Amino acid sequence: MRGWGVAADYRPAREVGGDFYDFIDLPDGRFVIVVGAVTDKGVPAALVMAATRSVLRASAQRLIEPGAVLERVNEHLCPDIPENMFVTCLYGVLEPASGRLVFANAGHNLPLVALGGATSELRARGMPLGLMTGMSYEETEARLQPGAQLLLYSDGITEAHDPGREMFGGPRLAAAMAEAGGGDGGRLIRALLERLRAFTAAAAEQEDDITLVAIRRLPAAVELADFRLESAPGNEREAIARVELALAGEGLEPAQMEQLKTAVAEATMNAMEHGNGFDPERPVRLTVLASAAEVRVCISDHGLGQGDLRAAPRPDLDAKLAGQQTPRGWGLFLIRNMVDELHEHGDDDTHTVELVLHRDARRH
Amino acid sequence: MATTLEARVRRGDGIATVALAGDVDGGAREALDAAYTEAAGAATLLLDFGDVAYINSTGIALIVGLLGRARADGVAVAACGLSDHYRQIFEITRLSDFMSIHADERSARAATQGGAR
Repeated sequence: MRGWGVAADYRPAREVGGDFYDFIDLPDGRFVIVVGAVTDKGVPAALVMAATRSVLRASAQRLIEPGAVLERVNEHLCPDIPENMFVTCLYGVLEPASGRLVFANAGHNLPLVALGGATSELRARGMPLGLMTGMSYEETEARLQPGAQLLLYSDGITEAHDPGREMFGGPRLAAAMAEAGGGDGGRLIRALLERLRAFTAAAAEQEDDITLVAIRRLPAAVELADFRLESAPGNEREAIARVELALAGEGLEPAQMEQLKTAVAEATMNAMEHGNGFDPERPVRLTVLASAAEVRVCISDHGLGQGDLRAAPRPDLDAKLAGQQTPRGWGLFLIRNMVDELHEHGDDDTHTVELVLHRDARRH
Repeated sequence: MATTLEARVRRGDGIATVALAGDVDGGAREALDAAYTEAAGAATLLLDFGDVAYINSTGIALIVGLLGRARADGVAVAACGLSDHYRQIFEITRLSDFMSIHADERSARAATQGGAR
């Protein structure tokens, strides 16, 4: 889905669970997002979950309106569902080009939207599926702005308890989401699970299935520069001069600009030396992108990368001063400490490092 | 790589001040080595970064090397004239745990003379 980032995590409390999520591509380019939970755990819940999911998938192809889909699924479930079991479900249809989201809710946890440090709930009313026939489901529309993050989740996270039997709760989840800030959905999910782990602390086992789905509309970015530099010692100075020039009108704090320049210099040095072996035939390419939320510098070489940048060990200054370790090895450490996000990706002949600065970050 | 750093040594009161001008990067090795040799015998080596516009990871490695030699030789190392940005880098790399950092040469000298002489 161009212009969007999708991340999901599902952790059953037992070997099989009753939570589910699904993404379905519609023929007209729209995109269905479903998250649901069966009110039970283990094998019976898993069976109801599987049945619900297949009816949802079939209905999604025939019906467009989220409310109509939930009505259909409810009618299917009611006759056969075991007593005392029902299904909560949030069903949304997203139009990627505009960010328009139409959704209906069968008693599921309300989704959260975070944008610019604030979070809000998306509300729509409806009874859970499988309780009684003839139900109708309210449809609500929302527009996800560039940079907005949508979070769908199950009550396994909000109804987790700490050792004092206090519940994690929706407000705590919303606060944790706001605190995690913008950026990558996978990072948001890791931060939320980390927060939950800290909260439940001594609790022996996970109480219920946990599902988290994060859908982010990537900030619209403008390309400010795209250039190549010969791989030669010292040329990182040219790289930082041109990046600084490209970003001159972007209003970055002077301290942030200095941090970015150091990160760009170090990543360019790595690309020229380790990626391209200072081969004059293999230039380093830099692109500079800016959006309302962030500044991104991409640095590409023709190497294979040097393993996971983010996992590189912290240099041991004591060992270096004692002569037990080379005095070198500061490049990656500096890069990691200068930027808000660091990504790398590659294909057969290009390796790219992406340095991202958040405009709203309060730094050091 | 071309030399991009000038290092001038001035001595006085047991302190050798190395006034650095230019870039502390891979090209700085010779200038730093020569300055360290010239400063031999001083109790404190004060690196003045007031005219340094650029320090990179290779430069950090050279400073670590110099600091390692000074520790082996029993010479204290101090720094002054760092911009806020490079001062932050000296802190996150922990270089500042092993050298005292001062705003300028005057305050560095005052602090150093207040101690052992």
